[in-house]
Amino acid sequence: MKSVFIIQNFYRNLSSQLAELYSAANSHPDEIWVLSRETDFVPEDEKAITRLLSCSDGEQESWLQILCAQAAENPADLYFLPSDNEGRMIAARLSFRLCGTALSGVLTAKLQENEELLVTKLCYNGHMESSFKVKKFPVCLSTAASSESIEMSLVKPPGEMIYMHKTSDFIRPETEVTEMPSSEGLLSAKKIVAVGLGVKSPEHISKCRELADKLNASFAASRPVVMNGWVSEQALLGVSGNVVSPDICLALGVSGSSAFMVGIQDSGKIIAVNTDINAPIYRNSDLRAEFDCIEIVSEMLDVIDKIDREI
Amino acid sequence: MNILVCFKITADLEALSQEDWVADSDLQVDLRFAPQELGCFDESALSFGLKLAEDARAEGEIVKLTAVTLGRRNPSRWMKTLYALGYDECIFCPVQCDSLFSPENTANILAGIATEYGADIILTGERSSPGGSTFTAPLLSEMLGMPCYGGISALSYQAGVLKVEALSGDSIIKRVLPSLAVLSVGNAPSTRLKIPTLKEKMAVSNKNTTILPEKVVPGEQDKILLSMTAVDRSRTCSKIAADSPREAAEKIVGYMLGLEDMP
Repeated sequence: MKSVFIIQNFYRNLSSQLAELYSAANSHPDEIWVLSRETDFVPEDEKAITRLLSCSDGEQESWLQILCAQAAENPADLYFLPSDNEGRMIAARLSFRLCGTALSGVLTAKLQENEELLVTKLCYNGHMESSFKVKKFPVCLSTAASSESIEMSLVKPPGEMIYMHKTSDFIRPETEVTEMPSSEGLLSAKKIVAVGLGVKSPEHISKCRELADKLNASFAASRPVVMNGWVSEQALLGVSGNVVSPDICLALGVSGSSAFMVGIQDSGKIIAVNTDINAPIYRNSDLRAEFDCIEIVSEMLDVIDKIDREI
Repeated sequence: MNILVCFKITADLEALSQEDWVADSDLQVDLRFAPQELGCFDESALSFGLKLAEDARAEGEIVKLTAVTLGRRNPSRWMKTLYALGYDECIFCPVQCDSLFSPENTANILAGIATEYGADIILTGERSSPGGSTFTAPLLSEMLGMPCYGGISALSYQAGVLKVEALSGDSIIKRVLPSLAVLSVGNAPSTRLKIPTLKEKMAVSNKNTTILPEKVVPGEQDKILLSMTAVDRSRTCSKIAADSPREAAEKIVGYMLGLEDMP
């Protein structure tokens, strides 16, 4: 059964996309298709053929037309796409156009000896894990976000591996892309300070950020904090945000909903600070401190200052 | 402008205790007794619907703002709230089968309603429990032949033009959209629906939900659900031995700076 990894070189770095796909597939694909501008480099996998699918813009309709043309020329049974917004939407729309099956949030996809495909994914906001047998091919799978990382080399693809499929006209929106500071620091952080609604107000966020800086940790937040506009979406942890695997995660005022825990479950150690002894985070953490998180932050800053003065 | 916002009333999953997370013989979790809530992403979509309608009307556009939901029971409490907040029509379509893992069925029904109502802009939350597929909006766009834009975090209508913003990777993408589009709303800050006043509720007390004929949806066509198991993320959860915030802070700093090993 032929499998293809599909990644894009417009809005997200290739290595983080590939890490997710290798994690879900747990094997090398037969091919890697990279939606990219013509002159870009592509990742090299000694066991897979890498094809650059030339695309002039980052519009989904362009990508879909190019992918459908490539799938007609080079059909596969399994198409793996990353967890991000583009990956999920392309998985759904490509499967529709190819009359196949689509699944998102895929943890694993394994081909059984009898050529059946078994797929696992989280559901019920991360409370349950489900497994499926897929009946209808081709299958387009958008993977779950992962904290895995990967080393890869980038090469210039040989001419015969660059595909210039024509796209038909469609109304392209006027688009402006602004690059934000990279969130790669959060994804590769060894230490993270994550805040929840227990910090009570945006005024306390700056103190928590200061604490993260002094601990040489990255700063992150739960969805309610992001939704209040207190912290940017780039710092979001959880099912709809980033999945991280620091050595140690300090969760301040976080209730620990399952959707959030998906984001930090791969942490080496989790320390939770929350006054609510019934908060779900407590049963999912290694250490707990049942104190007000703002008091703890203030005391921690004071302790660090004291240590710095003594050095 | 015809705006259609699709939303779902779901169970408040965080209200369940650890012991409730057991699959029944149908491989589903019994949520019948869980409190109901508006899906958080759908709430943002509903909020954007109101904003878009308000912005467009301010520019002299004629707007019809409609909300639609599918399910087993008419969520009349939420429908009254949406009417009070300014929705022109609220539609409920009864569905016989709960499409836990079949966004295709959901999108199919919504596509029919969108076509019947002549929707120009369709908004829906990116994901909802329990399936969490994120596929309803893109499938809806394919069925309707409309472009689809996801991860929408901001939206405005000015000078006859619809502008949206989405975060993708580390890029903020701002787009000026054509007239027809399906918008999948992601993590959008400050988009909670306000609570209507009693006066606002009374002003629309005679408005009723439009109830469509019941739809019967087929079972899963393309995949078979084999198992459903609870995820166990429990850890030791030891209490930090500290009588005061200061003592706890000293210990935590020690662990975070590597000055002390964690137990």
